Amino acid sequence: MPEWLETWRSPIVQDALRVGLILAIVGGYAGVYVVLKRIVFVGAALAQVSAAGVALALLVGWHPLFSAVLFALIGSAFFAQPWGERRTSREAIIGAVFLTFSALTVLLASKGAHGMEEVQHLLAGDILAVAPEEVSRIWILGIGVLAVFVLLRKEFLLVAFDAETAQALGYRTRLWEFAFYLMLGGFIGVVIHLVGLVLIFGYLVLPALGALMVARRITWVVGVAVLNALLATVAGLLVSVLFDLPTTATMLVFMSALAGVESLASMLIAR
Amino acid sequence: MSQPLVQFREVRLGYGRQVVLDNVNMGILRGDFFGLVGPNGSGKTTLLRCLLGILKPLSGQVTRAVGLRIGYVPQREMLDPLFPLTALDIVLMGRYPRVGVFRSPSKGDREFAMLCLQQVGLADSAHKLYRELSGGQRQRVLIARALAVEPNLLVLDEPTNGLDLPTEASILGLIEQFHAQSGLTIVLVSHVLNVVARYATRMGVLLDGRLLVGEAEQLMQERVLEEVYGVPVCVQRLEHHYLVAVREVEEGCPNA
Repeated sequence: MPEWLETWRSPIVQDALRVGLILAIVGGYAGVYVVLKRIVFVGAALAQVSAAGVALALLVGWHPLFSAVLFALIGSAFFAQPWGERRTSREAIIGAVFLTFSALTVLLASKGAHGMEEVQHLLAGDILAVAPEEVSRIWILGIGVLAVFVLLRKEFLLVAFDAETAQALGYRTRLWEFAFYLMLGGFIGVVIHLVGLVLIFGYLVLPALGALMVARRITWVVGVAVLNALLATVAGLLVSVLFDLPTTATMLVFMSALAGVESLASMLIAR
Repeated sequence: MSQPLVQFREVRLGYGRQVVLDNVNMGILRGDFFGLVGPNGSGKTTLLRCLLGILKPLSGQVTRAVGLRIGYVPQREMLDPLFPLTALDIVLMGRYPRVGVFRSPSKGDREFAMLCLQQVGLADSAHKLYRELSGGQRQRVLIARALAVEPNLLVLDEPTNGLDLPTEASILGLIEQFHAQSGLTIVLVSHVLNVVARYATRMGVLLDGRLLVGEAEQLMQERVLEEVYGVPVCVQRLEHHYLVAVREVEEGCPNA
């Protein structure tokens, strides 16, 4: 048996594949809403808030998962507020949160036992380092979050597309916004300390970006986004094993490549 | 006299401590074609939000008739064309409150949505993407969505903004047709006085944080409009049409 196949079949890689598949499905699905709602950087900021939660947990001895989810939920409640843009833009607030919590993560981690190594792990993560007992936990959470997104898809879509009409129709849009951010933030909070900020952010942006270029109906966009994420996960993991490359970066390269090819295809078709 | 669909009694509207409109008294009667006009920044949106139930009054009372269903047509510019939604997808949104949470629209909901598209003359464009439609077609889609609510009150916010003249006329003609044929109660919000006065039977004019309500004929007077807009104006009436124009101070009006 070739060495790469032996590596591929190893429990470590198989666990990483299982985790990657559920991240791809949930991230690909949720990412369509994230891109359509133009809150791409809220995803990054929420991930960074969670990362600060993990850094704090490692410093004071809390459970990282508990702290990450708690921080993500507080961040979700914050971003679900209807910010007026009279005095400053929403982007500026998102940027301020991202920068503040990035700095906080570095400061907290620098005083921890693992120092900057922990910061590096939070940023880049390592899907190959996920403990076997975490795999089923991530799947249960992932399926739960996915079920909520699927069951409430029409309400999330209406509130995202036309909040004012939704209010006129009797929907409590602040509650629906909070529910959306709660799902997104909770998911990010749980997986960030396992796979890192960059991979989560990638799943939320790149597959949906490519899908929006080629698919014309919302259901097709969601389908293509999930397919993009799944393809990039499997191909990225396989290529990283074959050529001994960093897994997260290889997966992200595949996601970017797919988005690039789909953008190019859409431009060629439009001509 | 029938009970109003919506009644405002001594209503004060605003945000936090800032009062935008005070002492608002008006009723939207069944079968009304009510036009709401006022200069930019006069509080049209604030009053509209309260009418829709989005904004609670600071004081006073707003009562709504039992079984009131509002079909709302927002300004087209508020909607993001990035969303890959077809005309039918958007019209179906009007059915969501009836469909309920956790459920998908039924075949009957789809048929009703198609019927609404047919009523606005867009049945052939049901599967076209909203972003690929013209301004007038998008407006029709939003009207169809409001009709899908099966409303007894249709509220339209600046429906003719950014439309060319023939499209504007066709959209307003469509609204008038719903009013005339099915007796649908209409509230038309616009900053274009001529448009509102042409179609509305009753009008509300916003002035310095107050609302003047009356028959269109009563309010389309030079004296009233000069007070509202703060500039000398001329008003001419040609059958159902009103022509309002700003005049130079030293000039008289053509019909004066």
